[in-house]
Amino acid sequence: MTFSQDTVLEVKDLRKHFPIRRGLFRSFSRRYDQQYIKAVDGVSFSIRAGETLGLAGESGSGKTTTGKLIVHLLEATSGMIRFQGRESLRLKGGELKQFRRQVQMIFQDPYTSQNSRFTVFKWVQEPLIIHGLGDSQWRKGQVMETLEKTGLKPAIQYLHEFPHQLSGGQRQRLAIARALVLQPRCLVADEPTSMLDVSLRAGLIKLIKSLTVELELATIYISHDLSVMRYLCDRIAIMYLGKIMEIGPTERILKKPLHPYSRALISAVPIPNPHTGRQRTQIPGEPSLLDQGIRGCRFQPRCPLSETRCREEPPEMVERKNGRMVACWNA
Amino acid sequence: MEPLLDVYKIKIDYKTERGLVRAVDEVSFSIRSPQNLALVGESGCGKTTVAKGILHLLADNASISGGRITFQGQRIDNMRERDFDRLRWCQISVISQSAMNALNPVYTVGDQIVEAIQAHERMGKREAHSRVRELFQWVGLPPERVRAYPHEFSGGMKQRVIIAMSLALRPSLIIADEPTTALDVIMQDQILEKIVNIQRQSVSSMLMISHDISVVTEVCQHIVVMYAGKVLESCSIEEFYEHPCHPYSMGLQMAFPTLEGEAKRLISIPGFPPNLLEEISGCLFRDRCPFQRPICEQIAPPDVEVSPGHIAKCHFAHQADGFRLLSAREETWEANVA
Amino acid sequence: MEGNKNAVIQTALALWATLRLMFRHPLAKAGLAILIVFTVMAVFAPLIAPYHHDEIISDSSGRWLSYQKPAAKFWLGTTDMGRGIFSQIVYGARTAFMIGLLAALMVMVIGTVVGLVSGYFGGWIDQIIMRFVDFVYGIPFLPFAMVLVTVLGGSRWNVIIAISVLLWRETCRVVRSQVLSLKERPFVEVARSAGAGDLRIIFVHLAPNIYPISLLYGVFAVGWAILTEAGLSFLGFGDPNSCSWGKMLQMAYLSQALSQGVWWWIFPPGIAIVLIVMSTYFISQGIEEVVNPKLRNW
Repeated sequence: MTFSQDTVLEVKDLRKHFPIRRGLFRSFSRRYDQQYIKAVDGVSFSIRAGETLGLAGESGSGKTTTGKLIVHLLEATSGMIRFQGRESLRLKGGELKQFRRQVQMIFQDPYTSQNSRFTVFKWVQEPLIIHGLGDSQWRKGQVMETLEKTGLKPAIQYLHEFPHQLSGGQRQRLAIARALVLQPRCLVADEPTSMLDVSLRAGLIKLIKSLTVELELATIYISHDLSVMRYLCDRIAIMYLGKIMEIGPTERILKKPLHPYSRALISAVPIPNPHTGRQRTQIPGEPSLLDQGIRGCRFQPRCPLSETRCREEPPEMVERKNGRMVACWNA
Repeated sequence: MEPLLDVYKIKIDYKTERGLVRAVDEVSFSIRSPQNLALVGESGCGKTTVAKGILHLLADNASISGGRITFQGQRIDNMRERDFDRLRWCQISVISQSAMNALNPVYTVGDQIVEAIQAHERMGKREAHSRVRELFQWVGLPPERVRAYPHEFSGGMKQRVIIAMSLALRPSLIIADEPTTALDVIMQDQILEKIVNIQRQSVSSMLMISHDISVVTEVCQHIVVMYAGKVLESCSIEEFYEHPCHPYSMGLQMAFPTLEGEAKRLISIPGFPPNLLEEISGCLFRDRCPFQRPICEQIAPPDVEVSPGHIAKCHFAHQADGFRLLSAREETWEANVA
Repeated sequence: MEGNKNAVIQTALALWATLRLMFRHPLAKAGLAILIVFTVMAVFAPLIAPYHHDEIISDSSGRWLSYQKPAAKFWLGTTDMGRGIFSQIVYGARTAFMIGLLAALMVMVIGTVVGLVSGYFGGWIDQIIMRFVDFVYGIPFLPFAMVLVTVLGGSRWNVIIAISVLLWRETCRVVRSQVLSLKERPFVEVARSAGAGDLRIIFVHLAPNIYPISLLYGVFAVGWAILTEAGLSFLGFGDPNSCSWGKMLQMAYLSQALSQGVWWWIFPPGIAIVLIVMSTYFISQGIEEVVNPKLRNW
């Protein structure tokens, strides 16, 4: 795995707050203060070309929202995203369109992320038409080349099929082809394998890995499946209720997690080996959005190591050796 | 001791516009209480169809065309609906993947479970309610939540309600179809642990259907691997991991990324499952098998008993040791890509 | 081109499968049968009708053969001026189809476009358009059509316009609600993330998914349009030059056919109107079978 030294994407203190709508009367009341769901609340990381960063967490952690913010499908409430050195949060119009060529996303559900009325060819060609690239001859060549790269070969066989004629795994490859036809620099993959059979996942993750290396993409892989991320990601960020709890090289975190939540998450992953008596770190309850209102650490209500300080002050990201960072008073 | 559930050479056919599809072809396995059995395979391999066949839940265009299913010594595949209804919930219950969406939103969960109980057993309301509270404790839900409505529960909690419902009448057999697929990993872990604990207490057996072998490993003692409607391997969980004798089982294990062992070792079994409408001679797995030989195309592989209780459907089951070494290397599988 | 063959074949197969599904419903079959009969009538009118609709039939001595009862010579008898009723029915089918189809087409186009725009953009655009649609709903259909025809003049085209101007409201509402749910689908997000602008998303991505329901309401519109045209013609607001079933009823009424017991002038046009409108409703039953399960499965 070779790294280019340039940072492709840099995210600093990214926030996305969704207002909770109140009833009509309450919104006129003088004591009304807007309540928010802080889906993403101060997320920072950077990623280089050829590198895969994993965003791990359960539902409600904000990982999907972060992905959508990077791709500009949602507007950030505050923070900074720098793409190839240029600020990308407030782009509009033509500049936004140019930006979209560089950053693409693939989604979780292979059955609803294609337009069922478009053939494979039309769908993969669409981004090229939108950006007015080349003529129809060239475009066809591009489409076929991209399809073959994603394993849909011979491409000619697939060109005029409709999505419902393809299996789930093939449809995800189609999604990847569509994302890559514009030759982006950055790919955000939002749980692309969670709706596929486990035996099919290997094929898709291997594909993503080889494409990341071959095309020097900066890939962000969003998932809750740590086993997959172990194979695929160079670094992992573990998210909980909108914040990153821990970030660092994958093997290091998986072997020696510093944050109690990371420990719990890792210990909960089932191992396909009947002789492993794994130590279950049981933590009570579930992540609750109400915990966002806590003054201190968000994980504190469920944390086995919680102290007074955890209830009062939210922990800051502290840098540790080997490129790791943790946000915990007890780590 | 006779088995709790005995499925013997079951054949299930589907009538489609394009012809008859044999979704399940001579599948046999048996469950002895209190053991749990895992039925694993890719989507479309027929595992869910087998479960539906057992539960009399097959679609109108599907039918059992051969074999027999015995439960507690009684034949159930040809049982009358009325008689089978008496077994439902009391002796055999179901946990399915999307069951949590089947909860009626206008009734409290407690009421729904009580209704299920009272439909099958003579029990007063008070007694039924106290049973429900007991069940909630078993699955780790606060007993006060009995009076809550489904929409007040999260996905994980709803699934626990379903599990509680399935245990309400203390059945001897629980059929769980992908019970944790829709859940987050920590929730999944908690629920799996609960299931294991409950089973220990209530001495019931479970038939667990999944495409995820890591999930079934902790819960089940015996595993049956299905592919394209057939059973390719049937053995204990330990045997499955230590001495798999079918190339498909070997491939499956290599296709699962794990947190243990070598990080960068992952293969994908090339190709796709066969189209059941087409006639395929010999072994149905041969196109994807790295160890294919001419005989595999000519003759359908027999069931080979490699050791007591361990059956593999492969011509070369006895030479599995050699295959095992080769299958652990990525190149073996990659070379087979057409 | 080699590859395009699959697209064509697939689309044809899908269409055929859809049609078969549509007409599996016994009512749809019946509707189709009726419609085919009338279509043949309309298309081959000059060949089928023994006389022109305006032609006065006279006997050898030149006297008008008026008020003839249905017989072997005149299948449905004649009018007060000796015109063949069967012939008028046949030519009337032409008018019915022409007006019905054209009006339905206009309704489909207007309703779909407005529904797409309103549903996709939401916000104040949606509010304004929907309030306008509410307003349009409040306008009584037939009286308004009558007024419009009076103002514009009684020609075929004005009748079509008068009908379309109000009838699109139904289609618009339905299309809008479809769009509201479709625009949240991931494939729309995907299109947006690829850089597609709003117009492109509406007309290239969403529209193809809307056609089925557009078509459904188009078929309804055919029935409504024919009914309305009949009503307008009956009230005297139709095209005086065309032959339509409504006009036949008007003529019959004006000649006091009812009191004179000339039933063969009144029943045929009435039954023809009922039959053709009914057939469109029956066919729409079949379409709904196709559209609704699809709506659920998307």
